[in-house]
Amino acid sequence: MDIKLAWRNVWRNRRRSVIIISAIAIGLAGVVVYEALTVGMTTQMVENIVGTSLGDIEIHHRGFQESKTLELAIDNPEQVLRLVRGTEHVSAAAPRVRAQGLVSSARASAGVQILGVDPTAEAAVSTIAHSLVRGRFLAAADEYAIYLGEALAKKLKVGLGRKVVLMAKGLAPGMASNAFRVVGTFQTASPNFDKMTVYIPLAAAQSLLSLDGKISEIAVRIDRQRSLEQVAATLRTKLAPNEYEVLTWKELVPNLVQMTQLWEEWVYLFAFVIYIAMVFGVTNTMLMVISERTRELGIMLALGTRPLRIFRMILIESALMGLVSVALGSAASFGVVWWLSLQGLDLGWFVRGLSFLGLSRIIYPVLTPSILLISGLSALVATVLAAIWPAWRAVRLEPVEAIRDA
Amino acid sequence: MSLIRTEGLEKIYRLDHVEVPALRGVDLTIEGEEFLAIAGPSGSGKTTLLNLIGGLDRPTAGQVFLEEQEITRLNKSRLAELRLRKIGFVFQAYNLLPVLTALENVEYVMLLQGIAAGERRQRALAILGEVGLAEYANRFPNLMSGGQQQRVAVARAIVAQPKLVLADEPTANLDSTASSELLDLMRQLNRDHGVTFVFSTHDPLVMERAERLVRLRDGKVFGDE
Repeated sequence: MDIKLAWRNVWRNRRRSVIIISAIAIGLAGVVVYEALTVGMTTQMVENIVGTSLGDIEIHHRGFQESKTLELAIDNPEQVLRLVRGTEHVSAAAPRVRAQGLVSSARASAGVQILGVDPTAEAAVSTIAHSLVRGRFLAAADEYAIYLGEALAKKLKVGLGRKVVLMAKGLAPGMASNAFRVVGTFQTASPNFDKMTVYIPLAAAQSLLSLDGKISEIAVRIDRQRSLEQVAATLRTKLAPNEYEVLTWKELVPNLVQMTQLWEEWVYLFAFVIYIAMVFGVTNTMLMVISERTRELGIMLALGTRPLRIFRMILIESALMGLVSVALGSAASFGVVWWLSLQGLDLGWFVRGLSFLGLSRIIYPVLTPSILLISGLSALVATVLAAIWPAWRAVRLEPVEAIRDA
Repeated sequence: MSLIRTEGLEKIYRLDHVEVPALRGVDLTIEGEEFLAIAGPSGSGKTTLLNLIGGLDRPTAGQVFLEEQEITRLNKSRLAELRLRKIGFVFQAYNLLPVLTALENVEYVMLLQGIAAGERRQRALAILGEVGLAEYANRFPNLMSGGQQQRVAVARAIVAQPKLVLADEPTANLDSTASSELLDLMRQLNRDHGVTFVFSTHDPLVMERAERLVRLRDGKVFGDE
């Protein structure tokens, strides 16, 4: 009967209850949608950077990450690749040559990052093949083909089938150069990346840079992010630590980790402000409730209701309002997230300045059960906590005064 | 052994630094199964005396004994337990919990006593039948007349089988017919259940029907008939 009594009490002042329940539900939905968008945005940021040009894990010759020198190359790539591909949770691995160079067309030239890749293996570790704008990605049979950013192609004023010359300082003395035919252009979330990156076949890169079958790095993708550290640790034990360095994307781009943490902290701050507002709203409502029902509470006390039972009844009333709010707020947030996931949220101008972070213009929210569960529970706890002070005031009522005052 | 005994009961209210004496030394003994009215004009201390006897308030001086147990020193929780087990209350008006039906209102006290749901329902229905409101069991208070509501309040007071029912001007908001019916009912229950009824009033009709009439004036007993 306690719950029945509390439930009926909630609906005594229907309009007031609807207002406070709506306020909590809207606040909760706001928190959930904001969090889902943030998770979606950070996941996209990570995927844009990690999936385009890095890898969940990269393996280099020890010291390469710091010096970026071609002298520190992996000279037994097949052996290392076999070892990596045989590791649990590794879904793909690809060899790469990474160097700096100059690309020139008849009209212009630009400093670029040269990525020599095995087209088939690269397509399995990165999304670059899917970022195609014109033409095609590199193919296994290509010899001197080049796949470059659409922005770079425009800068060089070259189209498909046109030749560009790539110059770089390889292991051999002097500058090396070779002509490459444009087979395709790409566009990623990062305009900077597009302006200064070219992909050429691995063998062509090794030849241009006189690497003699050596590579700069092995990019590794794993089948689940939560195994990142575990896979990295396994690879570190498999590969001689004095010869190789195994770095996760978090170590490769620490500022990306900081940025995602910052966004998450913003979500917590936003949620905290919303929950505080909820607490004030519920406290205010419950104080009004206590004030209006003073005589009734006095009669309950006079009949022999223990103060603790009154306290519990007020908390149950608040919890029931919280439960209804959480159900409605969760349903609303689910609906909004579903709608946004169909068409995405266009951040437009806001993202332009943040594109170097790999932020996409269109954000797709990611709603996980844990977001719903934790946000819903927090809202419920907030509504119950908010009723403690009003309930305490109810408990302190003296029956005779409560009956007389009303 | 008397049911209620008060000794030198005094109550002074402090209102904005002004002391207002409500009771000035009341010595009163009430035996079991009495049907007693406390009468007096407004401000004579009737309600205060009932509140002190019922453990709803604490005296400034003096003592109240219920079955020779002093109740004036009990803490809030013990007083709640005492009221629950031994005393039933009927107030002037708006006695019932508005969100509960007549049946649930009557059941409420038994719920507090920890009586099982089946027995609660059975006893509540029986007592509602006894007060003539069986067909109103599932009605909410706002759909009942003042007289019917007071009958439900009496049913609730009696259902827990208390020693004493305290009724503070139970007929104050009722017309003469409803008042008369309520008094008949209380008298009937007093006889059938052997429960002591103590009620305050300034209504001559109610005074006439009392078995014993204690008159209060200016916080003192000045007549006991």
